Amino acid sequence: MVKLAAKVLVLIGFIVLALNFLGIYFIEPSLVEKKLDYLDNESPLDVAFFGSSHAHSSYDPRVIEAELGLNSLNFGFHAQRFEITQLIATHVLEKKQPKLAIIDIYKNSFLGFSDSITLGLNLKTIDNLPASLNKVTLLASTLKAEEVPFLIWPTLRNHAKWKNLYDYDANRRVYKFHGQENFKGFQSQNNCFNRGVWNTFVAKYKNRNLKREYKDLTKEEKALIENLISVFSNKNIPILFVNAPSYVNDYDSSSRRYTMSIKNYLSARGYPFLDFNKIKDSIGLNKTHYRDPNHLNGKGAYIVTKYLSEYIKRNYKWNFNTDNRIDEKSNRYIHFENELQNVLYLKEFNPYENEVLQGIVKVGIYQLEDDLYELIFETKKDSIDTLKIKLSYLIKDEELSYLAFDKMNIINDKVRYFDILTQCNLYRYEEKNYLVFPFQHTLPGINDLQLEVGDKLDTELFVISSDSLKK
Amino acid sequence: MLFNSFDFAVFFPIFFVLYWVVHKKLTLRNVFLLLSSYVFYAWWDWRFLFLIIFSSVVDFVVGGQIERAKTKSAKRTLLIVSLVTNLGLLAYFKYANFFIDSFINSFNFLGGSLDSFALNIILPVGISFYTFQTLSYTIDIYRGRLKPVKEWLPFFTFVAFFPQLVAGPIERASHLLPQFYKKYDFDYDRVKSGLLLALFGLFKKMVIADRVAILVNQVYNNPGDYSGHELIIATVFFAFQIYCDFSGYSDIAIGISRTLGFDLMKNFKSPYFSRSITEFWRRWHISLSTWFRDYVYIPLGGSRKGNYRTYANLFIVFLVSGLWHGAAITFIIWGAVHGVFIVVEKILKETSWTQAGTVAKFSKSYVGQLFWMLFTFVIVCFAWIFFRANSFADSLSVVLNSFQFKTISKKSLFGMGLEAPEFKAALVFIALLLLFEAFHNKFGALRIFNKQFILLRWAFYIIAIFVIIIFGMYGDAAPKEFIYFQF
Repeated sequence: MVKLAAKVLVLIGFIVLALNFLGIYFIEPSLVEKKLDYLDNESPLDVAFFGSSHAHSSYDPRVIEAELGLNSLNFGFHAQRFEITQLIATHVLEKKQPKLAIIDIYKNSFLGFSDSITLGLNLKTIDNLPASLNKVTLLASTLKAEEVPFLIWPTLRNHAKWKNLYDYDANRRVYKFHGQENFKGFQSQNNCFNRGVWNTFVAKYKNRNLKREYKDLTKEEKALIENLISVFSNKNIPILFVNAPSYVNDYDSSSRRYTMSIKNYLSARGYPFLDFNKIKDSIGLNKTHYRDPNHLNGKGAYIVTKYLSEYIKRNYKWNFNTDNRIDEKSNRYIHFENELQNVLYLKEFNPYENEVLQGIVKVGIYQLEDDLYELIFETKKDSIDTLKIKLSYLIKDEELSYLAFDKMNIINDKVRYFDILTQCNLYRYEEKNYLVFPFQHTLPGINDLQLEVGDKLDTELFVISSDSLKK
Repeated sequence: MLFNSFDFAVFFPIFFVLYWVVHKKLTLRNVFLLLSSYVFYAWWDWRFLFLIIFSSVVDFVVGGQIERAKTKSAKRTLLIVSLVTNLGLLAYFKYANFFIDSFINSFNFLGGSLDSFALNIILPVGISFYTFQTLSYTIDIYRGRLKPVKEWLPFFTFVAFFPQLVAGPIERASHLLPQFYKKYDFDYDRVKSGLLLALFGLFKKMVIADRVAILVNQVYNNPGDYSGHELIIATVFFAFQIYCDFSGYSDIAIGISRTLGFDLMKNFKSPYFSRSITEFWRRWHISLSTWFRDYVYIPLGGSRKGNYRTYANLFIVFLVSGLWHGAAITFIIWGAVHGVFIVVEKILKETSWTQAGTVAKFSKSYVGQLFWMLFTFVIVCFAWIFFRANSFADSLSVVLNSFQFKTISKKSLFGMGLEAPEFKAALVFIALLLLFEAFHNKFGALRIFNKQFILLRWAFYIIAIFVIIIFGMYGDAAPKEFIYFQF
């Protein structure tokens, strides 16, 4: 019996190890993995953001870097619940010791895994965290016991996706960045929502009860906050709670009630709470700063993070040295202006060209990461009604085969990407205007980039030859 | 509780450890076994536990009374009490709606006018199995082949023994009951071989049966949408689905019992290697076919009353066997098809031209054996059509449309519910299973396996477990229940 028990235990040990080892093949590629990889970077972490999509859409580490000279990472993940925030925070603090933790908190932070989509999104996050006692305890306390093995090990949960082992996506870890802002965990799009989206949003809340009825946070909700606080307080890391701007807060009484309850509770506990919903109008946010009524776009995030930087400067007596920006190689504005190493291509247009190209002063290609680039246009005009820009590039045959599952438009072996850049994409940084268009591909696979500016009747085409790119 | 469920994965290790803690005290061990078996069954629906207890009480009491009865007629009366009680319960829970439906249809056919209705009856899981098992006890006592047991505990445990309670093998009292009177010491090699057998059963159920079930269900639930090779593939896949599903369950049941010291009878012996339908029934669901032989065929007269009576008896046995499998005309036709072929084989066997000359020579050659194997498989698959079809009309549609051949394309092959990699995986696993069975039948796989170097054995364990983990069908989308639970 003892011999059998010992052998079974050893066998279980092997199986657990193998489950962990194989897990990577059963996780769908997502930005979560990429975000957590930043923790392996040697540079120190000053500010860490936590929260849901509100957090990852609203706080741009680029701005924190430029304004405060601090290195920051955004660990906001879709539909992140406080239970999961606690796990991520624990993981982050095992690797880094930030000066400040900024936690985005709102109604949904407390909702638990009420539906399968929320659960799926949160699992997608924690799949990328190593198996730990914390993880098991948390899952066991939150979910049904029989679900726990499936949730701890993606190999079990996603075993039916073994076919994906052969897929490019699973092996090459592709992330779809086209047209999406992405920087050190910050994720947003550059679009604005249209009238239809707004009307649908308003209609959704039309018949809701708008009476302001205050209710205290429940015991369980308070416990969630306290558990999270203890993760940071155990390491003497100060916490700043924030509430990202969202139109939901204006239309949903329940969200407002939560915001009020959270504020009162945190105030009683002596923790600062910066409610952007209260100040959103005064800091200049309007509908053009949102990609949907619930999330900011890149332009909105710039304003919010800039305000947040000033808030930090006022309230935390640290030595801010903006001259010695920690990771300026990654800061598109600084880099672009100074034509530093990561700008692979830069062309300044003469006044005639400038007029023909509808106000574009400069165009450049800026390399953010190995396979992530941004086309940056500096524009003369303060406002651009509609600037149509088509980007297309030729890719080599061997690269094409990897794109079988990509959503990009492939016409005659040429990957084409089409986007309309409007005011929504216009950033103001140190009195200059920038239009940014992120795209992703491994550069050696690209032959020639073509840019078409203007509409069909009045198109100017210029080609950025791969030879002209800085190696 | 299903063998392939999380609940069982928790239940069994706890049960196993406690079982070997109490195993030295026979009464305590049997009490523990009985209670565990009741928990196992009650996990599905505790209300039907009373049926098992009722059945156990009736047969325990009747068995004792038959032994004590002085006259033959008294013994017969007591046996009838047992038969009526057990078969009555089976008839009510399993066949009431079928008989009502058949009566109404016949009545309407003859010009009457009755509205159809159905009783809201839940079929208790395993009722066909434990009913036959308990009947074997009273019938054997009546025949004087078995002495009744004096203690209720071993008998109740025999009826409810959880590894084989819900889907067999259907054990004879003379084989299993005495085992509850024996003490077993922990035997590492027995436990290991039992666990390996259970693992093999899980592989068959989760990797093959549940994978091909996706295709089979899609095609057989919409037979009008498919034709030609699609229906043939679905039928062949069903042949492997039902084999892997049922023999997988039997392997787990036998394997688990072996880890506890018990021996259950073998239920399958590579049936698809059979070279005749007669041989098929010696290899398929052996515990049921021998039950019918002993308790239906022989009492009907067996082969003792001339050829024609023998043929009739054989045919009746297979009709009853079909009805045992399900209360539907399709199951009866399935039984009839087998009955017809068994009778035809019997007739041919008695003719001189099959026993000598070219036919006999060919049958003994490798090519001939392979031919008869394939021929038998085709007949078995033909019969499976009736077994699997949702209705008689569906089965006819499958039979007729199977001959409407159309071009084999990737779209048609992989458009039946299994994507290309899943379809190929199913074929690979079926081929591996057949190769393994052929190898095992010839050389004895376990004996050879046990002689291998420890690293090789451990590598096999881990790979086998991971094949089940990765290629097994479980979670939300997978079929869960064993097919034979419904019988």
